[in-house]
Amino acid sequence: MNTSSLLAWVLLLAPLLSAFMIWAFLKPFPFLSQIVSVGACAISFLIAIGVALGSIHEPVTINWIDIGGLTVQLGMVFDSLSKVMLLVVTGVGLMIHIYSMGYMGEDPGRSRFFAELSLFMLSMLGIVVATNFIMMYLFWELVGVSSYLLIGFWFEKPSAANAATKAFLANRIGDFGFLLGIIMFWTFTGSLMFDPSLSSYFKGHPLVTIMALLLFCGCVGKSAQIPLHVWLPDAMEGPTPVSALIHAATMVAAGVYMLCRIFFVLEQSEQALEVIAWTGGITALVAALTATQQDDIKRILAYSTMSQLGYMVMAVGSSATIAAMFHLCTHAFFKALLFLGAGSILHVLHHEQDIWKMGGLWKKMPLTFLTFFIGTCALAGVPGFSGFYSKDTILEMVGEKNKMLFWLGLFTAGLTAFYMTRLFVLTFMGAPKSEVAEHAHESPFVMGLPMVVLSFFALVGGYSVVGIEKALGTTHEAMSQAAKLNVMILSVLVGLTGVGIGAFAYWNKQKEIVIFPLFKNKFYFDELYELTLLKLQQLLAGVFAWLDEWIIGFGIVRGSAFLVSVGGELLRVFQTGNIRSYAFIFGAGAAAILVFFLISS
Amino acid sequence: MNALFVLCSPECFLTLSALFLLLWQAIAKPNYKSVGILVLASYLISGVLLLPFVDNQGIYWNGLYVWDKMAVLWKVFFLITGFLVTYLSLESNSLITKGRAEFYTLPLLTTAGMALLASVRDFILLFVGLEIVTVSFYILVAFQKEFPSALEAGVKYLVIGALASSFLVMGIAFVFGITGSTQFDEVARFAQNNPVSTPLVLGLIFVLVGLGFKASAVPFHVWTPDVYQGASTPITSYLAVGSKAAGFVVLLRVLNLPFYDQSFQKHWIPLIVLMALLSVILGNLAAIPQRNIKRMLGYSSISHGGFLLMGLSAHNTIGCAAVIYYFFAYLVAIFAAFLVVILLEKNQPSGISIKDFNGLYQKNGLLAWSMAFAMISLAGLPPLMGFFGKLMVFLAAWESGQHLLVIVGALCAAAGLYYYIGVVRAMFWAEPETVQRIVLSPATKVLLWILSIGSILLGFYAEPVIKLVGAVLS
Repeated sequence: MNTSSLLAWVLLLAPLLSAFMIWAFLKPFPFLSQIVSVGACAISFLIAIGVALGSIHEPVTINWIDIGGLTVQLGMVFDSLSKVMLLVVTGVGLMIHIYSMGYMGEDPGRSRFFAELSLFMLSMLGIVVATNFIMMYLFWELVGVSSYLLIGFWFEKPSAANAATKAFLANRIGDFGFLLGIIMFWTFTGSLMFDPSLSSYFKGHPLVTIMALLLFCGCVGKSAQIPLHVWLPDAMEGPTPVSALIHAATMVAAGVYMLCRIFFVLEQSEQALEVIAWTGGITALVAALTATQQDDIKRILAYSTMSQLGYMVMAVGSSATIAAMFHLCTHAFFKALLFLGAGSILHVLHHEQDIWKMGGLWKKMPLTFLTFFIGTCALAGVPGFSGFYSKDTILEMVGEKNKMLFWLGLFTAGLTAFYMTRLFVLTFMGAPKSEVAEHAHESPFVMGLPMVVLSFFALVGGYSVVGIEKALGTTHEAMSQAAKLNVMILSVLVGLTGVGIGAFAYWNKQKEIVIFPLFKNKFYFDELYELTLLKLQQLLAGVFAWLDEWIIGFGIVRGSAFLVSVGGELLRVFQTGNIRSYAFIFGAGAAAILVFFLISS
Repeated sequence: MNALFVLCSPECFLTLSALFLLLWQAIAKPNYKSVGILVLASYLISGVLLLPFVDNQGIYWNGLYVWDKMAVLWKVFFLITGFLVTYLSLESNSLITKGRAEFYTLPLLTTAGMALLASVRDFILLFVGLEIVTVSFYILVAFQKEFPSALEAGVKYLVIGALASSFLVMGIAFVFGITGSTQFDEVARFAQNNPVSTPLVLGLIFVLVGLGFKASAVPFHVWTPDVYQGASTPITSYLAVGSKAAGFVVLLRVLNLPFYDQSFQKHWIPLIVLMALLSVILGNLAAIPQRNIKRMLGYSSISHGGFLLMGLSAHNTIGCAAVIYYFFAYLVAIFAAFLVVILLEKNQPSGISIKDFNGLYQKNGLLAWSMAFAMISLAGLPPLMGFFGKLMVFLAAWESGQHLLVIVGALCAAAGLYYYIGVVRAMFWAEPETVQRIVLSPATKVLLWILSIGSILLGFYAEPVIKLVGAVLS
């Protein structure tokens, strides 16, 4: 193995070692743990730069499992897709690691926090460089685990523990479909590699739609698309840096990344793409509508994340993978920035999350104010900020394929501008609405620095000089300049309308102006699930309790409660009918099988 | 076939050491602990004695007995099982009041029977080996005869076991009656040259019914939850791993040699598929409402039997490799889980329910983590060993065209998460009634570490085991 190959593996080994060392040895030394974790992340970042510049090449693959017909390799793929993603993940990751040193500064469990953060980095990078389905699935589950651990980081809070469980279960449902899709892929092709030339095996096959949709299930779970989105808002129970890194910038975007990686499968089925595009579009709209009526700053941002992920999924469904990845990158910058801003506010407001109890923070926290402003502009799609460019690219591409979805996307863009303005005005403008907001002050420098860096990228990330879009591949020039201009004008108009209404409606307001119960209650998804799941569970439990009681378990308790002596016991056992019924079941089973075979043969 | 080879085989060595230890404790009355340690040593020595003969290949005693790589691998598996059972027995010695020395020594004979089963090539020897195992289990299950529940479990196991044995004998009689031989290759040759008649199929079905009892496959599972709950915990773990593996090693042999012919396969594949389907459904769903941990693991064992049958139903190399790998994963997870249960039982001999796991993390972190890894591995979540076992089983079954079986299996595996995660949840997030630290002996700590790390490492880096299994099968 040569040096370049070795260096490439260090990309994964650094966070792995860091997680292991902290977990095994450094637990009692929080400060050292921080340094090790941040250092590991920085090493990964440097290697990612090396990869992007082309000085570090793909390492030799290692045969991992090899038995008749089933070969799984451990390898790395460095193409334009993964290079950009590596930079985003390690870059944003590094910023958030640094920020966490400030944010988690007084938490007694911060060694554990940093170990889990390193574990997350390992698994996320694993997904990005995976060359085959099994490797991706493995790291896919591992990010699930680390996300589970980090959501439940403050496990003393029952709400955190519940949120962790909910995230875990919702993801399991999605991953179940994903796994079936992988198995189906393997049966079609006999291979598990991400290799576009394999598509000849299933081209035009009637089952390819089902396979594509099963694979898409993985994305529905991880990227919080309807109907499996319920976990993401609850996941905000985790520490805010975690929300920024995992539940905004990187992990939830892994679903979109996966879709781009396996696009050679998806593009074989028009129907599957249609379903994907509509799922994304509807998620974008529903999440944006819900966000307009929430009061918790982190939940608003969570719904906005969901909505933006819906945009990306919609773009993939419209065959615009490059636009989707472009938006993924810019979104990673500005959404991480917004969460870090929110974290900075929560840090000084003693974890008061209600935006109706903030206000007037612009004077107290000028740096947070400024960076949050940039993030808001980027998300709202104000011209000149990164979000504007990537969102426009998506809208252009979607408009080419499906006019309905285009209008839906445009309306959502207006909503986004509206609710972000609402959030911004209520939080920073006007007069302080509570005691804690009066005594706010700026966060420490170690938290401010990452925000400044991220806001720089949130500002310029969309410019063609930075070249994110170019790095991802050739840009589409399908549309005429005039049509492009039309889309741009439309989206600017809609955006400004949203901002205008938001600012006008919420300037100096003390309470909500109008309440839509449907939006306020998140379209009643939680209630619906709770009701159906609860009923189902009760039904199942009832059936099995009955079975257990009557058929299987006359068992120990009842069988032996009355028994006095050993002799009596023996007699009793033979006489309760209990063991006879067992023998009867055994015999009846054998008889049924015999009858079946004699008839069939 | 030389005398040294016979003496060194685990069957022979373990039997001899069992006889020696029984005599010794009858005459010299040594203390229990030293007997237990000698039993542990016997397993180790037997493993060492196996080393020179690993590469032997051959069929002995007119085709009765086969010594190949697969036999060696299974013998090693049973030796590990026996070793761990004895360690668990030593840990739980406060619960066994009478005849402790016999309690340690008897499993030596059971393990000898299992090792014999790994080498069978004849239906008569198969029956003898299986009866050695079953009869010694009758005694072991009912060993705590001062507890009515143990006695009841013993009687249930005896009656159902006898029923299963009678089916097995009947099946063997049918096979012998039609083919004129009890040897596996003779039966296979007969099936190649002659059409398979109805009585021969009857024989096949009876044999599978008899083995279905060992594998605790639905509908021959009824004894499992009661006996698991009633038997003392080391014996429960022995039943869960050793007895089940004995059933499956025989199934592997029988289905791949005497009944391998196409005309047989079209009869047994639907049967195995049916048993697998019923087992995964009933096992996973019935485990959900269980409160007693041993009863829950009993149902879980039924469901794992179903997954293993799924691998067999694939009737290809990956399927067999999957079954063997699955068993190693199962061994690691089950022994970790039962070791934790035994350590908890020390403070609460009346039986452990899920509620007793509340806040275990605060009482002892290592225990909680080991149990969590065991549960997650049993649930089949990556990257632990259990995941790869399930994955391989699913892949094998899917490849052989059992699509429905794989989908139902995957759904049931997902449903199974509910009760496994329930335990994890109780350990980490529920408040305990009292926070009383649990102190572990150094050896137990090491064993827990080995089992936990093993389930992670061999999951992440499954290749050595899979390669080994692949080499065994080729």
